[in-house]
Amino acid sequence: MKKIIFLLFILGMSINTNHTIGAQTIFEERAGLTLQSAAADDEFNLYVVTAKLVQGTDKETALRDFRKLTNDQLLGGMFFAYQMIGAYLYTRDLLPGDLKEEIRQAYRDRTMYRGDTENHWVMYYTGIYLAAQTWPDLDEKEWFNGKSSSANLIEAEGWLREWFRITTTIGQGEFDSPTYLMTFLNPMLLLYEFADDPHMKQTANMMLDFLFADYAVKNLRGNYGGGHSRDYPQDIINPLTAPDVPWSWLYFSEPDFLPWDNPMGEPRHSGWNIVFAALSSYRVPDIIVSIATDRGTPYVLTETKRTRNIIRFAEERNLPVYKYTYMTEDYVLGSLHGGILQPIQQHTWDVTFVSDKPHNTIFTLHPYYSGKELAMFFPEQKKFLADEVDRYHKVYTDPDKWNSSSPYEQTMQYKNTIIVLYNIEPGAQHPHIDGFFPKNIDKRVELHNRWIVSKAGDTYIAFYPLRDYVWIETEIYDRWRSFNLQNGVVVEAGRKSEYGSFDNFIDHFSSAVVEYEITGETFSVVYTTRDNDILEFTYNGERRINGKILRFEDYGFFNSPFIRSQTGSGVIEITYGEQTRVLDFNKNTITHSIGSRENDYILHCAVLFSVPKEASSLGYAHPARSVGLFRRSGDNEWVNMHHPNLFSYGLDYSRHEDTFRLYIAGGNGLHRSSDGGESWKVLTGWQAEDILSVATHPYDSTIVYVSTSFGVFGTRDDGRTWQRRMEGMKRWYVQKVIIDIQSAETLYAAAEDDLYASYNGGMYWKPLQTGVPEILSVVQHPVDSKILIAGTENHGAVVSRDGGESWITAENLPKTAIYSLAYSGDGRYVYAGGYKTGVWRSADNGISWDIIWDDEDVEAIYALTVHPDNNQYIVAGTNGNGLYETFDGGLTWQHAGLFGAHVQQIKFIPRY
Amino acid sequence: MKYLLSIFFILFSQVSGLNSFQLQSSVIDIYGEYLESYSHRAEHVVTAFDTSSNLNYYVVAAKYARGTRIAEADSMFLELLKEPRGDMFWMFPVIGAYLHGKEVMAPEVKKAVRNAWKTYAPYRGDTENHWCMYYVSLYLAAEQWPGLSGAEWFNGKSSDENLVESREYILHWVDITNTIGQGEFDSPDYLPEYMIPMLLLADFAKDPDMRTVGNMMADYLLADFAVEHLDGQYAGGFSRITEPGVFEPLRSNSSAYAHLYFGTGVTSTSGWILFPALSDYRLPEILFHIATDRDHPYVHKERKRVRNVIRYGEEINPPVYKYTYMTRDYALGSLQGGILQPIQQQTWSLRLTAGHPHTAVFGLHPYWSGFELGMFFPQRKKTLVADVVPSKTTYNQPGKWTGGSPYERTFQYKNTLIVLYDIPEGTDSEHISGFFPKTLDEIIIDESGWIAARAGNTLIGWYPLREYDWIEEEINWRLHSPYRKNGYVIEVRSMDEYDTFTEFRKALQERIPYSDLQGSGVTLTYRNPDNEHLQFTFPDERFINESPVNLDEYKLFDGKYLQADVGSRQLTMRYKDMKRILNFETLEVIE
Repeated sequence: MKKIIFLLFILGMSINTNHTIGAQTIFEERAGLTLQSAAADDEFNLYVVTAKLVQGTDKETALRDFRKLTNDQLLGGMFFAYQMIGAYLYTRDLLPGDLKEEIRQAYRDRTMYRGDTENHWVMYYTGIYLAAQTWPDLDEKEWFNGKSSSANLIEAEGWLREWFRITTTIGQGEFDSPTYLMTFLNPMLLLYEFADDPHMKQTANMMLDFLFADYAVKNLRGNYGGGHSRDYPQDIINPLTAPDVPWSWLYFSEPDFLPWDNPMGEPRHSGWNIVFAALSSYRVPDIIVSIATDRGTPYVLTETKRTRNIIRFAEERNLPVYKYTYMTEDYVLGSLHGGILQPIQQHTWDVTFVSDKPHNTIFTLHPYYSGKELAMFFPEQKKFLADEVDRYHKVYTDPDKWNSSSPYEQTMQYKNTIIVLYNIEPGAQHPHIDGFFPKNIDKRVELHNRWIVSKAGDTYIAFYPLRDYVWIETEIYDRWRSFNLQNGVVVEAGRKSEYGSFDNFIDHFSSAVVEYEITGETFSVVYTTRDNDILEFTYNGERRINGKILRFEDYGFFNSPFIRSQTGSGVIEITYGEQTRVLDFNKNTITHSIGSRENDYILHCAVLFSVPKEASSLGYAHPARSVGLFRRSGDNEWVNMHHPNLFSYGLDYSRHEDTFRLYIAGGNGLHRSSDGGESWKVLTGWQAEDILSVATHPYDSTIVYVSTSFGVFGTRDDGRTWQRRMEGMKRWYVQKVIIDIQSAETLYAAAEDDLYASYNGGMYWKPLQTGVPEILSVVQHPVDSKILIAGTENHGAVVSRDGGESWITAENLPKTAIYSLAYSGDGRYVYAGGYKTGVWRSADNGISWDIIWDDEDVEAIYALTVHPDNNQYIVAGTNGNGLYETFDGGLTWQHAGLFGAHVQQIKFIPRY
Repeated sequence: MKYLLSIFFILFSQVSGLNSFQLQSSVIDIYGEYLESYSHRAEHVVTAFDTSSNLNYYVVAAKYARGTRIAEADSMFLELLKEPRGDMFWMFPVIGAYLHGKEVMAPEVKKAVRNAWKTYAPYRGDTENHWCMYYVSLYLAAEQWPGLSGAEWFNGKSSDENLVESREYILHWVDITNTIGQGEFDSPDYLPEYMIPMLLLADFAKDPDMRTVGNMMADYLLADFAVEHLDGQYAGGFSRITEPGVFEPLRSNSSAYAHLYFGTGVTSTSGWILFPALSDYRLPEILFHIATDRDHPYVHKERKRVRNVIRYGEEINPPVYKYTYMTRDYALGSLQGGILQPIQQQTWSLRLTAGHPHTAVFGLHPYWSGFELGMFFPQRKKTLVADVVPSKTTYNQPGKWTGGSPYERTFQYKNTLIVLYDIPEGTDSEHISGFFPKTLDEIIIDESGWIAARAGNTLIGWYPLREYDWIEEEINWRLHSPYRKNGYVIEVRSMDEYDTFTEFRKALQERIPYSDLQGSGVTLTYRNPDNEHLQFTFPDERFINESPVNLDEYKLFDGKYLQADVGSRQLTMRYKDMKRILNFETLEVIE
C-alpha cells in the first residue's frame, strides 16, 4: 500500500471539507477517491479486486487475483461468504464466464463456516442470502451446505429478520465496536444494493440509517466515543487508527486526513473495506451527518444494548447493557455500567479528547480473564478456553492488556463525571487495575490531595485514585497501576471554555474532596462535582444522583437530543434541528419530515355520509355530499379530497421508497390515489362489495388487504387481481382487517362470529375463540404484538396477552358495542369508544378502563385515533356529530369540524 | 345467440293442430291490434316529454328522439350537466339521453356529457337495482367512448376495464336471476330500475350478445310481472313496496308499465316510462295474453331469493317461496314469511279489481330492528335504524304498512291463507295490523268471529285468532291486535262461487279455525269451505289434508303460464298453444 500514498496525498489535497457544499457532494468526492486509491493499491483482497475492476484499471491483475481468491481453498467462512458475493455482484458484467462459474462453484465446494459471533452470522447469512438470490432454483447438491437455493434463501432471510428485530428492539450484542462496525455495515450495504425483495432492501436501508445514527451520535471528530463491546488494544489506546475511522471519513468527513495516510499511526486495517460503501448507492442522510459533526452543544446520551448471547452461568440470555455518553466539542466521556458484557475485548469506559496527536484517551480497567468468562459465551470446554483464546487474541491472559471486561468493575457516570469501582475477588487472576495515560498529553500534574490532573488541548481531566498506585513508564504511555483489591477512581472532565485555564482547573481540584468508605463489605463513594451534583455510588448497591436513585431502566433504548427510542419499540426517532427521521421497524417505514413533529402528520378521516341537522333525507341523491375522504388543512379547515363518494368506511396509506399512496375503503370499492388525492382509481371489481376496511402491507406496496361484507380480499399484484380469502371462516361479514406489527403475513380479522387470525396472508383463517360473537374492532399493541384487544357488539371488549391464545373480558368497559380502539403511539394507553359509551382509556392494555369523555349529544363514537407523537392529542369521530378532539389527554374536548358527518375512521398520516 | 322471433310463425303452425291460415290470421289480428294500441300509448308518453319544458333528462331524451327540438334539448342537457347528482339514478338517464341524441346534439353537448363521466363520481349503491343501473349505464358509456385511459373516467379505470367489469357483472346478474331468482323480485316500485337498463341494452349495446341479453331480460321481467298482473296491479307478495302503492296499487311504478305494455291500469307520464316508450322493444304476444287472460283462476308458484344476507344468516341467499292465486276479480299472494328483504317487504296481499283506488287488503307485524337492517346493510347495527329512518320515514313506526317480520309465517293454499305470528316479548312493537280499505263495498264483523267483506265480485273473509281493536283511519279500517301469539285466516272467493254475500258469510260461519296459542307454540287447524284441511304450526310445519308441504320443491317458476327449474337458466312461457323459451345459456329465444 505504501507506494500509492504519495499519489493519494496529492489527490487528497483537493478534498473539499467545507460542509457548506453538502455532505453528499463530499461523499461523492471521497467515494471516488477511495475507489481510485484502492484500485491503485496492490493488496490482495476482494475489495481491491472490486475497485480495480470497477475503475477499469489493471483488469488483468484484478481478474487474476479474483480467480486466485476464488479458488484459494484456505479462504472460507463468513468473511469470504459475503465479500465474494459482494465483489461478484458489483463486477459480474465485467467477469468472464468461466470465472463466474468458478465463483458459483465456490459456494458449492467450499465449506463456509458460519462463525460464532453476531458479526459472523450477519456476514454469513447476508452472503448466503445474496448468493441464493443470485443463483436461484438450484438443488441441494449445488450448495456447500446441502440446502437448495430456496432453502438457503429462506433460512438466511429468517435469521436476518430476527437480527433486525433484536437489534432494533433490545440492541446489538456487538454494539459500538470500532472494529466490527464494518462487518455490519458492509453486509447491509450489499443487501441494500442487491436484494431483489423490496422489503429486504428497505430494511437494509433502515438498518444502515440505524447503524450510522448509532455511530454518529458518539462520533467525535472521527473518534468512536464511549464504552465499546469489542475493541482491540491498539485501537483502544489510539482511537483514530481504529477500523471505523475510514467510515467516519467517508460518510461524516471526519477526520480530515486520509485514512490510508494516517498521521496518528499505522492502522491495523488498510481501510479498503469501504470500497463497497464507495460503490453503494446508499447515502447516509444529511440529518445523520449533522448529528455526527455538530458538537456545538454538549449532550448526554443514554442507551440500552444487550450482552452477547450468554450460553452458560446466567439467568438471562441477553442481559441489558446500560451505556452513558457525555459528548462535548472537546471530549467524550463514556461508559458501560460494568461487569462482563462481552468476552475478551470489552472496553468499559474512557475519556477521549480531540487532539492532533495520537493516543488521545484515558481510561482504566481490570485485566481480567477466566475460563468462566469465556464459557459464558463459547461452547467449548471451560478449562481450556483461556488458552485457546489466547492463541488467537494474544493478549487475553496478559496482565498488561488494554482491553477487558471484569466482573469486578462497576461504573456510575453523570455527565462529565464518572466513578469506577473495582472489588476484585481474592484469588482472581491479575489483582491489579491499570490506567492508561498517554505520554504526549500537554500536562499531567499530581496534586497534593491525590488528584491527578491532565491537560490535553482544551480538555482537562481530573483523575482521583482511591488507593495508592505506581507509574510504569513506556514509550508512548504511562501505565497507572494500583494493586488494592477494593479500588477505584473518580474522573471529572472539564473544558477550557468552562474553566478559562488549566490553572483554574488545578485550583478547583486542589480542594475537591472525594469521600469514600472501604471497610470490607461496605465500599462506597460520595463525590460532589464542580457543578454541585452529588454522586453517591456503592459497589453492588445504589447509585444516587443528587439523592435520587439512578434507574438504568430509564436510560431507554436511545435517549438524547438526537436519537430517541423506547426499548422494545422498534421505532427510532432521529432528530436534528427541524428535521426528524423516524425509522419504524414495525412498519418497515422511514418517515422524514421537517418542522415540528406534531405538524408532520395530517389528520384524515373517512366519512360514511353526512346529514346536516335540517336535512330530512339522506342517501345517494342527497344534495349535501359532505362525504368521502377529508384532510385537515393547515388552517384547520376540512378539505374533501376530490373524492365525493358516499359511504367511505376506512382509509390507510402506504409509503415505500418514493411512492406514497392513499387508500379509501368505500361502497364503490377500494380507491387508491398515488398523487396525494388529486386523482383516484377504483382497484376492486364488482366481486368486492362494501369495502369496510383496508390494511396496507408495511413494506410491499403491491400487497393490500380489505375486509368486506363478503369476506377478506387480498391482492399481491398491486390491485390488478384480487382473491377472496375466506378459508376457515364460518361467516363472511368482516368489519376490519389489520396486519400484525411483527409479521406482515399475520392478519387479524374482526368477523361476525369471532376474531380470526391468519398466519399466511389470509390463505387460511383460524378462529381465536374469543368467546364472544360479533367482533367490531381490533387493535394490537404498537410494541408488544402479543397484546390484542377486540371490541364487540354487545360485550364490550376482550383482551389477549398471548397473541390470541386466551382471552379475558375487559373489566369495566360498558357491555355494549365498542366500535373503535386506538393505542397511543408509545403503547402506554389504549382508548375505546362505541355506542353510547363516550371515550374510555386504559393504562393496563385493556383490562381496566376509565371514562375520559362523555357528551349527551354524541350517540356513538365510531372512530378514535391518537397522534403518533403526542399522547395527549386524541381525536374522536362520531355518528352524525362530526369530530371532537382533545389536546390534554381527555380533560377538555372541543368540536373539530365536519358537523353532521358520520366519521368511520380517522388517521394521522405522515405529511406527503 | 340468435334472436329467433322470425321463426315464430313456422314453429307455431307446426305445433298447433289448427288450420294454420286461420290461426295466423287470428293471432296477427290480435297482436296487430295490440301493437297499434301500444304505439299510441308510447306516443302519448313521448309526446308528453317532448313538449315539456321541465328540466330533466327524460325531457331531453324525448326531444332528441323526436328530433324536433334539438336546440332546446342541447340547452337543457348542458344546464343539467352543470350539477350532476343522483349517482346511478343519474347515470342511466344521462347515457339514455345521450344515446338517443348523439347523432343530432351539438358538439359542446357531447363534450359536456363525456366530461361528466370523467368528473362526476356516482355511487354504485347498495342494492340489486342500484348495481343494475350502475353497471348497465357504465357498460353503455364505455362502449360509447372506447380506448380512453383511466384518467378520463370518474373511477380511474380505462374504457376497457369499465367495459369488462360492467359486462361481467351484468352477465353475473342475469345468471343469478335465471338460476335462483331475483333478490328484489316482483317489486311494484322497482320494476323500472331493471326494465330501463335492459331496454337501453337492447336498443343501444354495440355488442349483439348484450343486445340479446337486454331483450331477453326484458321478456323475463315482463313475464314475471305478467303472470302476477291483475288489471294494472302487481299481485302477490313483494320484495319491496312503498306507500302509497301498498294500499293504492295503481300508483306504483309498475302500473305505468302495465298500462304501456298490457294496456291496463291508468295512463302515466312518469319519467320511469319514457325510455320504454322510446324503445324498439315490443312485448311478445304471448306475454300480452298471459298478462291479460284471467278467464280461469290459476295457482302460480315461484322461487326467488333473499337479498344478500351479509350477517346473521347461514346462507347468503336463502330461498323465497311465493304462492299466488290469480282470478279475474282478485289475486291472493304470499311469501312464506320471515325477513326476506329489509324495510319494504310485503309478505302477503289481496289485490282487487274493485274498490279503487284502495284495492288492497293485507296484514303485517310492524317490525323494525337494527338486527334486520344489519342482515343486509354493512353499517353499525345499533345505529342503523336511525340511519335509515330519515329516508324511510315509516320504518320504525308502529302504524306502518310495509315490512316483513321474523315472527310472521304464512301458509297459502289457493284462495285460503293462514298467517301466524309468534312475537317475542320485548319486541319494539308487539301487535299486528290489518288493512281494510274503506272502498270495500261491505264489511261485516260477524258474531262467528269472521270479518266478512265484499269488493265488487270478490268476497273476503278474515278470521282473527285473537281479540282486536277496530280503528277507523282516513282511508281504511285498521285491525289492531296486541297479542304476541296471534294470527288470522283469510278466505277469498268470487261471486261466481257464492250467489250472495250472505251465503258466503254462512259458509264462513261453518268454518271456524281451531288454534292453539296458549302453549309455547302457535298452531292452527282449519278446514276451509272447499273442505280442504289445512294445518299450520309456526314457523314451518304446513299440512294440506295431512300431507306435508315441502317448500323446497318450489321451482323458479311453476304455473300454467311460466315454468323454469331452479338453476336451469331457461324460462318457458306457455299460453294455450303458444310457447316461448328464453334460453339464457345459449342466449336463444325459441318460439
